[in-house]
Amino acid sequence: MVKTPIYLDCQATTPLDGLVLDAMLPYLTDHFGNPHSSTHSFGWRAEGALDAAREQVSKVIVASSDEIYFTSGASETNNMVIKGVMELWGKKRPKLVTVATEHKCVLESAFYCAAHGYQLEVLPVEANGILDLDRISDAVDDQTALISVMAVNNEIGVIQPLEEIGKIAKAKGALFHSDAAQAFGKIPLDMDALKLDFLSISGHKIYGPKGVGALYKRAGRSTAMAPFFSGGGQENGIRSGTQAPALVAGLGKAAEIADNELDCEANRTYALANRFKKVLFEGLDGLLFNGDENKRWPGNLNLSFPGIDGDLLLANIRELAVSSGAACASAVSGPSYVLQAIGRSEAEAKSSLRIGFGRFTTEEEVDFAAAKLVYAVSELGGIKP
Amino acid sequence: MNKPIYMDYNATSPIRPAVIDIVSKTMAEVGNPSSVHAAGRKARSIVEESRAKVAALTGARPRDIMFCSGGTEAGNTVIKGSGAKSLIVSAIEHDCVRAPAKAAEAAGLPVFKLSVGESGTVSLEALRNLLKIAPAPALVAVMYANNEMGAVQPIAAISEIAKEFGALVYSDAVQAAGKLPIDVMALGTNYLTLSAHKIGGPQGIGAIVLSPTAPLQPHVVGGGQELGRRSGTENVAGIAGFGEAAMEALVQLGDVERLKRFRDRLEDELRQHANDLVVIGEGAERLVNTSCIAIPDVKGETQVMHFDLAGICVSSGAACSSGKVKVSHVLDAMGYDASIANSSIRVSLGYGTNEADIDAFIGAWKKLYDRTAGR
Repeated sequence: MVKTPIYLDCQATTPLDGLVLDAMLPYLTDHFGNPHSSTHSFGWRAEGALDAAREQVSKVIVASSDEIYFTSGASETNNMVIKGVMELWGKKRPKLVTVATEHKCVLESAFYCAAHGYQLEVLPVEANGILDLDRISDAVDDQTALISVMAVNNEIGVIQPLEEIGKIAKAKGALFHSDAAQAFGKIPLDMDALKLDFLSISGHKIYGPKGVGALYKRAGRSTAMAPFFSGGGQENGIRSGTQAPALVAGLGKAAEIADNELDCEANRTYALANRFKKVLFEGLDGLLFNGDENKRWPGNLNLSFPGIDGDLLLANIRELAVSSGAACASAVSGPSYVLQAIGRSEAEAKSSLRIGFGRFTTEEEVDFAAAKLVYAVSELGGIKP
Repeated sequence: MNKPIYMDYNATSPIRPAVIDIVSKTMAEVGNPSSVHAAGRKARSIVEESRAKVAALTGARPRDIMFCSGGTEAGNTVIKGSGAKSLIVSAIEHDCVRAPAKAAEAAGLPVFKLSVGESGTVSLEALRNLLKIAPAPALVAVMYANNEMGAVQPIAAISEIAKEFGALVYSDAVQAAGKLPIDVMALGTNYLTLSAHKIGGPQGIGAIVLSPTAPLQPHVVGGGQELGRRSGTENVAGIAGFGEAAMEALVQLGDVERLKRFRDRLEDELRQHANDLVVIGEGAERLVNTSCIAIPDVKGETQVMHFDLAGICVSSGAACSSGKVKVSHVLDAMGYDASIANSSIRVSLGYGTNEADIDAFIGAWKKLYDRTAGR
């Protein structure tokens, strides 16, 4: 018998890997120093944790360790890049291009820039959730300072064509940023191959701790940005504040594990998702699949159950920890803007669930969840297309 | 070799054992506090319980506590987000206040420097004069207690004057917490900032304590967490540790007499040994755990190295800038020239400090003095 509740919300957050906790504990106990204390061994030890984690994180994205900066999480990193780049480069090139299905923290940062006088173009996506390349090619011009396109969508899991967008960015001389909170450590990301200048990374989406993330910032003057927090001048002056060695060590370890397990975990997740999908689509007529079926991270399934109230459905599947959208305070009520951006009606969007499989999800859990969901939908009268 | 003696609590404090337990226990729990399922609600309840504890430390309402990544983010957020028409910033603020104030000035906001006397305390008369000329409403930023030499500032009196001019008051209480009682109602602050790792909590978590009416533009925008004031998934384990540390900090207020006795004995014995000893901020009310002392013309780095070899960890200034060779802006503001400012070290004590540590420090210091001073 499976143990309930079953955690199937791996886009909201992931359970901490035990190996990660082991890597963190020494920095909570004996090596508690301030990594910026340069006058004694407690400081040096703590600084060592930062250096080691920089190596671990950079390896995952084929970058150099001095291109990694630690932050409090992907929200901070996204704010930092978008506001910091526009503040520094926006006078010369006032335009910012992003996408309607980005995470709230990217969109809100972009709106902040628009409110401060910069030009903002928010591109729509196609019905499969993926950006049309002609559209972005038309939008980006020699006035564009920054393009921000997320790697894997947090609600519908689709993967954007970063490599092609990177080429467009370079051809027009624009800087290129990607929010990879849902992609880092899950799909291969090579900074040079993708021609990325900035990448946002989150710890707690890859079985690491909450409260830590990273920024990849390509070395060189062209990627200079205004600091987001100023003060003691830590992280090369672009992100002041005492770093948290325990959290950073946790991110480093989580990155290392994710990198080592990348292929194997992708295959395993793909198999779990297929197993789940098969039961659902065989059991429920009229079920809608959100986002491209192939160009996606398989650990994310977003399904619409037309005619079923999403909140009521959630209430009937208490054994399953799934969500009706992004786990953000402001997104709790109201239909998903991401689902509406791919053409779902308000009613369809409200009838949707996001199901996230992860490293610790078992086949038994998937089977139980699929059966439970089919049963609950039938109990509620079934899908009414 | 013996375990090194840690006397750099103002840089960071060892985490208290009870905090470590709670942090690691919370780490093992899954759940995003914004998720509506049981795992999310559990995480939410941890965050809210801790919020109440941090509120208790400061006499605030829980809903007026805004968690963020630490003291630096908190300082930046207040300076950039109060909406004030001018800034009055004390000369001895931490860089996390000075640097964003400087950036605001570069962007066109009038910024005024509030000077301190030689004891390191701000002048209320100077404040009044600045408030007369600063475009209203001004934001007055004066830290509760200084990190380098410990001078405690008259925040309640500052607030009283500021209110006459309709100004907002911000006090960085990162170093004061756990050493001085904090009651935001009595202090009259609109913003007060805290850092967990200075009070025995984990690094990477801090807070702004707002007054019920304080305006605040968010610095990190996005999902709208923390009542829209600070977006980003909450650092649940860090917040849990902060809450526990806040409770311990309240208890620690009962320990200040012990620390004061240690600190005073330390300074007395050094003074008896060397009549040219300079105790920075001696004339001010100081944090009981902090001693900033100079041996004229003996470089701070030389002293710090000597103590390191003796197995004692001290610092030659604030931790964030301790890698750089430059005169401390704090000592400079107090009127010390380079011969003193570059010859000072900071000794800061905490809950783990004992009598033997003080003896060891005094012994090592005397050895250093005899070898280096007066040459």
